[in-house]
Amino acid sequence: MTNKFDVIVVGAGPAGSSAAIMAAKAGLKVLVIERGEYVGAKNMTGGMLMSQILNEVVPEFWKEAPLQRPVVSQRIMMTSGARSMMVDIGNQKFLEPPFNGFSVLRHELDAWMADKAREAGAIVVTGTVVDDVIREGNRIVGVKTRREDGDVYGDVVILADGVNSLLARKVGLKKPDKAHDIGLGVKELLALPAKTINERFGLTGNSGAAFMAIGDFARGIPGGGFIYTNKESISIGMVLQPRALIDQKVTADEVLERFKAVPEVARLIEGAKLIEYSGHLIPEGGYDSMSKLYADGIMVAGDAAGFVVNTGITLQGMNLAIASGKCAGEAAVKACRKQDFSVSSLSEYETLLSEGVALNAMKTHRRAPELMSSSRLFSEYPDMVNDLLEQIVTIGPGPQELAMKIAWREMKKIGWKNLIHDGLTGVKSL
Amino acid sequence: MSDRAEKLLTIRHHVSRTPHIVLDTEKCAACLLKPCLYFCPAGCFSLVDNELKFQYEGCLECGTCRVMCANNALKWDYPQGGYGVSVRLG
Ligand SMILES: Cc1cc2nc3c(=O)[nH]c(=O)nc-3n(C[C@H](O)[C@H](O)[C@H](O)COP(=O)(O)OP(=O)(O)OC[C@H]3O[C@@H](n4cnc5c(N)ncnc54)[C@H](O)[C@@H]3O)c2cc1C
Ligand code: SF4
Ligand code: SF4
Repeated sequence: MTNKFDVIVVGAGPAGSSAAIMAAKAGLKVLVIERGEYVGAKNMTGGMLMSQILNEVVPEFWKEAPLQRPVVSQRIMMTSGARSMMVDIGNQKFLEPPFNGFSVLRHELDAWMADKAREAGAIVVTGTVVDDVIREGNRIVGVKTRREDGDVYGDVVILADGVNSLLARKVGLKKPDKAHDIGLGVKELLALPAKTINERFGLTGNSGAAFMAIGDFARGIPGGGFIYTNKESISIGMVLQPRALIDQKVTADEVLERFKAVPEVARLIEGAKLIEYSGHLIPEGGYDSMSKLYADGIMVAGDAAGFVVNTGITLQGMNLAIASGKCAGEAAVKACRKQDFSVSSLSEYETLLSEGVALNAMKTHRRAPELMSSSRLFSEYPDMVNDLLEQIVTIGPGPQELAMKIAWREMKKIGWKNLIHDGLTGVKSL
Repeated sequence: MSDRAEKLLTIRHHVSRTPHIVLDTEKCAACLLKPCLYFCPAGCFSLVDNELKFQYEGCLECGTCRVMCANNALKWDYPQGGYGVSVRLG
């Protein structure tokens, strides 16, 4: 292995592999360095991968990618005590190309994406940690790996090293960490036969469902639950704020058990066998917490840069990782053609991002973190909605009331000021 | 078996002999609330005879302690390449 490349990509997650695919397809000499024992060893997700962007990086990826199920039904559940309500947004069109999204497992997905980068001509090495960058003056010209003679040089370095990106912090591109900018995700994979999954979730064939749940099962801890159906397993987990865990002296795995005990949820997973537990951070600070995206000789993509949108109803991370990785790869190609790796040449990255979906999604959902940190979203609102519905469907001995009148009374409990504030934040962030 | 122990048993680790996270025990002794007892999803921090005990072997490398440690007592790094947690499914 010669140690000079056009592009060095740190991290073989969706962001890194997308960048590598784009750069290698254009004929550049690309090296991807991954610290895991194998590609995917360090990665987990919810998760549902929205398909639009991957289709641009690997056209018709669904013909070959290891996917679990195309998601045709997205359900939003609100629980409050013994009560629950659910909205089911179904669309059978999502069973056909170009689809809308797929449930995925990360080891197989990441391994496949890295193979696509190899096919395009990139070299992917695993089991290798990048500890630092190499500088020449202000410019970054390579990376130091934790191996003997481990210095590798590259005209452009793309950091796609995920949420903890120690490198973006070392280089000074990342703002200091703040507690409320991170969400802690914990997940379990539960094995169930396909037939049982279909019966319990009301699915046919290989179609899949996604659940996002909010409610008081987390007992006032801001955070939501998710469930995704895989071929023969269920991904179930929660995204929680560490701050709230500390305040309430409870651990994430305990809160996950509370979610699993919600009767509607318990019914879905009954008898399923736990096959894997995992935990991972999510950058949830939104647009205002993002890192600087580039400097001389370097670009940052994916979670490392903060490309995640969590609205409580949808969680976008993998698609934005792919979208930003793609732009970084394309910007690297342009820079190599010009042989100009300065910060002004790499500003092409931001131009491409602004034309694409990633930066727009971040800007559009700029207010989402504020909404997500409101405990009202996770306790009082599910409570209100369920109170309301309960009163509508319960015929008691007393005088009957019109639904609208009940609704007004319920909303008053939360207080108009809060409702208006959260309503506006919600509308601005969805 | 507790729920937590059952969960942790499903995780594969390739434990390196050198810890990737190192604690400043004096700072921990002075840390009153010990939030790490709650925010670590792998239960790597525990109290034994009122003293904080840290076991890096079961770490998921999530990074929560890197951000949330109350007293800046941690040196946090990745394990040597190929070591640490290895997710099988993800
Ligand atoms: C619980 C949970 C649920 C989620 N649900 C969804 C969902 O449903 N849909 C969705 O789209 N997104 C979801 N996300 C977010 C999504 O998983 C991430 O946004 C996405 O994985 C980011 O991809 P990435 O390539 O930027 O980073 P990663 O996937 O984290 O990849 C980074 C890679 O870099 C490697 N690396 C790091 N540092 C180094 C180093 N120094 N040297 C060498 N290699 C290094 C790592 O080992 C890793 O392979 C979820 C996240 C969590 C935690
Ligand atoms: S929070 Fe940090 S300083 Fe406090 S006990 Fe835990 S590791 Fe030590
Ligand atoms: S990185 Fe995560 S799993 Fe590891 S010790 Fe810190 S909080 Fe626990």
